[in-house]
Amino acid sequence: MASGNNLDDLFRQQLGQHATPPGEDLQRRLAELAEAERLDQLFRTGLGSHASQPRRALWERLEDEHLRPPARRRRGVVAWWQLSAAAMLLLALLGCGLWRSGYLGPRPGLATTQPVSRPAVRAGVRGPGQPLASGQDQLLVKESIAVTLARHSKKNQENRTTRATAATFSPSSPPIATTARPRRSAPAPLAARRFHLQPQQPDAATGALATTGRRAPAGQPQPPTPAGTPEVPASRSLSTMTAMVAPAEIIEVDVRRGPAPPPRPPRW
Amino acid sequence: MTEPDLIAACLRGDPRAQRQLYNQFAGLMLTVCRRYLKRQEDAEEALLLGFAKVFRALPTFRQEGSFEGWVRRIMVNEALMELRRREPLHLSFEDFAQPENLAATPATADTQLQADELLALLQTLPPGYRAVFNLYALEGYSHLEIAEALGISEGTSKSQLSKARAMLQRRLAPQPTSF
Repeated sequence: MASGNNLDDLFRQQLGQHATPPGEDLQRRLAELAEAERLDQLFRTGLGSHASQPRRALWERLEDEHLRPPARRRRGVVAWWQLSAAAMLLLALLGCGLWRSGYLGPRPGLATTQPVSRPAVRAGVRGPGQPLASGQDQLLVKESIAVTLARHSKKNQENRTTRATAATFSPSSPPIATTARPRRSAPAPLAARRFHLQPQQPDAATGALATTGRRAPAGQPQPPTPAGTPEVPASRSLSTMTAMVAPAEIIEVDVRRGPAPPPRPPRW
Repeated sequence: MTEPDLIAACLRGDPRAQRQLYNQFAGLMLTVCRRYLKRQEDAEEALLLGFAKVFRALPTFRQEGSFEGWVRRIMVNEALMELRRREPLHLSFEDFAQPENLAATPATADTQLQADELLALLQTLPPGYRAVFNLYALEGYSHLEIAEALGISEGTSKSQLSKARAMLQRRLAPQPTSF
């Protein structure tokens, strides 16, 4: 036992405090690790909290290209839709106005080159309940009515004292001559425009023509008309229109002599 | 404004908060991008795209970790993507593998270098070395993470790091004076 204890003490004494120097290879590797750590530490401390100043334009680019464009694009799209809708509405209103005022139909100059009896003939051929063949035919009929109205208005102004008779505006008077004649005076287009802008436009092919003529009662004074636009009695203009657009065998118009027309309001 | 308030305001799309967040991190993150990319323009491009991603991905930030760390990670990814676009990463891994280029000389431990000089030193490294050294030494990524991020093996990552360090130590060594 004593010898065993002595052996342990021997090893403890000899190796307990002994430091073995590392070999050259180990020393080199440890040095490399230390150098690597120092190198990493150098860069870590030098660059870890370093801030470079970016250019000012970079934020503007970020805003323009990535942060704001969706909203701007949306606004642009909305504005584009609003603008296009407004433009479409405006165009529709303009087209409607032009159509109602007859500006989109054939011009009077064109009417002289074409066979003027065409609308009247077509209107006469068609049956009472049939609609017009096309929009252009309707426009031609309206144009002829307007020219005739203008002519009649001028004649009415000249012969204001004489009473108009049914024979003057009889259906036998050829509509060809009246529609073929170009407009000569300024009141004619005004009268035509006024006719077309009436809210309830009479259609030659329907029976609404006779009823629309009764809108202004004989007893009521007529509203004042603008200067330069001669007043046309509604019944007379309607009879003229009837004579123009439809032959007598299709729509019969009974024109009777009535009492004297009411006194006209003062013109202004 | 505290950081959560700033993030909340950015989430609401407040332009002033977005500007403040940008001002707070842009300088720091530009340095991060410059560590990976040689040209200043490329670093700024990566910063721009990184911030765009930060603002886009802000709703996904759960405020559990460091916000700066989250932003930094996005910037590092963006810088690596920009690095792949601008500099061919794989070709340069073997460019400096010659033994003469790997001669290591001990760096002076107490070298006091300015940040711009350190950045210039990093930019002398080939793109692959630079990326591995940055990711390991400065970002604290493991070799496994680096291998996944760069699409290389773990062993390649270790060897690239070793070579990068060797090159940097050689460049940091004082030039011998000739008489």
